[in-house]
Amino acid sequence: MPEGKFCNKKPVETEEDLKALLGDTGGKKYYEEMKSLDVDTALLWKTIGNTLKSRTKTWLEICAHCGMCADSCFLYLINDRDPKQVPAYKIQSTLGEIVKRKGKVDNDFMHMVMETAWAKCTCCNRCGMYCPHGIDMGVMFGYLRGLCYQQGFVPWELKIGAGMHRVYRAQMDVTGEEFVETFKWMVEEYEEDYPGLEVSVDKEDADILYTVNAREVKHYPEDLAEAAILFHLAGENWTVPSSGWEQTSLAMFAGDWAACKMQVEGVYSAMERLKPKRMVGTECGHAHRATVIEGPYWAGRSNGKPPVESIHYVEWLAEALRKGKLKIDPAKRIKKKVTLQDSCNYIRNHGLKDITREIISYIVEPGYFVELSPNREHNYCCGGGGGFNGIGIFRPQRNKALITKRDQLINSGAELVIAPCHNCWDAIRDLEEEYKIGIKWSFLKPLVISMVEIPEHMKPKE
Amino acid sequence: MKKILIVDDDPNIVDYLTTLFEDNGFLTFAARNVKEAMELARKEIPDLITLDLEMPEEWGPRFYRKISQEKNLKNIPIIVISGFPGCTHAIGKAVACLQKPFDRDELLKIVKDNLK
Amino acid sequence: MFKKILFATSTTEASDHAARVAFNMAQSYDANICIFHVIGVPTRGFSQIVMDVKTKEKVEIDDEYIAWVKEEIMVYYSKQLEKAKSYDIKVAVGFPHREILREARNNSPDLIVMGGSTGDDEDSVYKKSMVGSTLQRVAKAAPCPLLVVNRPAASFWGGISKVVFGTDFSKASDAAFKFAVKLAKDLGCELNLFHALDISSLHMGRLLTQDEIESQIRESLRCIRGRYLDELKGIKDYSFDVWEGLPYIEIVKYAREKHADLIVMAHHTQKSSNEDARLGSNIEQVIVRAGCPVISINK
Repeated sequence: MPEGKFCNKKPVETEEDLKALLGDTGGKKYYEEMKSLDVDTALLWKTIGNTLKSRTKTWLEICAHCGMCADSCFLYLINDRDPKQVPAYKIQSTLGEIVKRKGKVDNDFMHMVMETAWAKCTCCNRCGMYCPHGIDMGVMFGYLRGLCYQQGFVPWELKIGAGMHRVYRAQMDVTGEEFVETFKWMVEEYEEDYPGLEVSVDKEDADILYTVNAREVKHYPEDLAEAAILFHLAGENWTVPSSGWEQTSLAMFAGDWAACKMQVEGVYSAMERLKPKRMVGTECGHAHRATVIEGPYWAGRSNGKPPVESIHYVEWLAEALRKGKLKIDPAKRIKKKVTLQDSCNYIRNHGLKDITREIISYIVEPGYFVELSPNREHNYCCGGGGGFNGIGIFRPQRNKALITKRDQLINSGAELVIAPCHNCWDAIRDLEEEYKIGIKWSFLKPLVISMVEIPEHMKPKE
Repeated sequence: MKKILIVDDDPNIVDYLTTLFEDNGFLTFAARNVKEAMELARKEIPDLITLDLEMPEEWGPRFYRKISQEKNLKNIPIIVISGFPGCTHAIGKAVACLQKPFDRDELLKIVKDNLK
Repeated sequence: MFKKILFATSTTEASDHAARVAFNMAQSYDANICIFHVIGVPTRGFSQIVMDVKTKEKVEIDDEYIAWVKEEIMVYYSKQLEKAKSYDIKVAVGFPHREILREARNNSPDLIVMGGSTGDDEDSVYKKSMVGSTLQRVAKAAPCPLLVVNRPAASFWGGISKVVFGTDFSKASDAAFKFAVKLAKDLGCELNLFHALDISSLHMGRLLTQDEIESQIRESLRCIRGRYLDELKGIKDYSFDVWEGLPYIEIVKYAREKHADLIVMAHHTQKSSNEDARLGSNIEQVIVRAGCPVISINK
């Protein structure tokens, strides 16, 4: 069958195509066309030959089918321990099977693979911690998504998302001008409350280059203002780039490696252009993963690092609090039961669990912090990771997945959960909407602003 | 006989109220806008006024504002009769506010109560 | 004075009284009125699904849906639009306060008109994730005067001819005063300046004697004269007064006594960042209680 108008193996590369695909509300035609999408088995096998290397091969082969990964997977647990939700089964029945059949799979099979890769795995990497061999099925699913994307079997919203990065170098249709304009607008709005508040664009040799999530620009610009305010109060020499300002990567969720590369190269080129001492990202998990952890490999950087030392927002915040650049008024610390969402992408996958707890020690009145159970690197995915939050056709599965987090929150007895990650924040908001457990949730920035001491010379004069 | 001034730009309402009040032993005058209403009020010094809110030129509350400035007129009870929901407190010192379509008996009772 | 009005509406009964005032003003002052409706709040991460704030349903936003919503708006306000000479209908997706501010920033209206709280579900998830109501957030950051019609009772004056200006002698009030004077001059209104002497024992620390109160009243009147009277030349009619009591109550009472059809006050740049941000400050209480529209000035 010829490739569909909306569903095909070509990435979305122009604004026109993007708008057209967006116009297919809910991906109705897109999914209809997917039913007749051919699998290019030759391409599939060739790609596997080029990219499936020894680690993945070994992992697929040495799986002992011991089932220890089963209980580690929140989707297995929440789906009534369905054997088909055991991580080893999930990956063996998809990637394992494709390899066994040397790529000779059909449309139906690829539909099953798509559902498994995007609705039965959020790439949270928890299984990798429990497997005796250290086999990380989340990593393999990440790889598998790439194969699916190449074949055109990718959820509608993520095809669009990858297209957004290709066209705008951002996850939404936000241009560099809009980014700068919105940042400046926010600074104007808050100038009166914080005299001297400003944002400098493209300043060279600054101490901090700040990158964000395009959603903040579009829908939550207060977040930009809050970031500016905290940098301002901490006396930082900071700047934002007029291009390369987007840290997130829906392309990563989509498995569009070429777009992933393009996306991070934009950010790296901003780093090289402006030569900051460090890059600080906003409160987002996958953005950090994409740009700081995985990105260097996509961009072919042999030392596996971005051009400039890059840290997650929580690292900057902890440092600012530790060094006294930001001082907290003890009277205003959080005095209600509060817990912390350990986000997969920078806790389990980048070891920042103690950093976030250090921040907690400054901002929560002793005795009020309760841990989720399990926590730290053993915490469960929020339920919405890996793009799960945004995929319409897998909404029911995602809503079920939220129950895990819901129950963790209920069991903790907390009234407030701190979630320094856009995906986790969204997932918790959705679980509150769906299950109404009465939880409040927040990023770190607004909480810190509510209790930070403003240096005398920075107070507004009346 | 007690005099009632009817202020409303809708001729149907004016007819209806005129008939209603005259049938019940009141003398009536009608005005279609604020200007006419002020003239009539000054001339006849009614015992009660029914007032519509939204009229083509000036709106009802402005009439109320004007008569409140006049010694002879400022204490005349006013009943607001309007088509708008939520008009209840549009005129603070009105003795009552009825929404169209109103109950004629309720209106008559309010009128009689205020004209004792 | 008002050539471009931005009327932010929920397109439901809850905004009807604000609509009455907005359309009446557009007509009286020959202004362009932009009917601005925020459809809903984005949900589901990066997907296109939005929660329609009116129908409470999750909808996919596309050109067709937007056109349908605009059509609905036209039908809902068809009576008023018949008489409107110049109008636009705009629809946006996002958080209401943010989109209203964005529209105001991009198109520089002379005035934003809004109703008070739409009385949305208290447990709307979107309320929970934001602090402060739409009204509070717009009032704090609006780049132009904001006119609020909170109660239906406040929407029936049909014009501006008697303005009350409430002051607390702050710099913010000075800015609001400048606006009130300009308004009174441009529209030929009577201007009544008012200061409320806050005698609540919380404020004063103890209950004052009547002589003390009246001395303070005299002092405040002197303040009004000193601070404002020079600018009042050219205004056809003005008066000023000081009453003691709870400020927001006194202003509302004063306006009622004066048969005011507009109150002008300064919005104080208080951070609305505490968790129980309810309508707390004076201007917010005045907005809620006044029997006429209230214009809030924040710069």
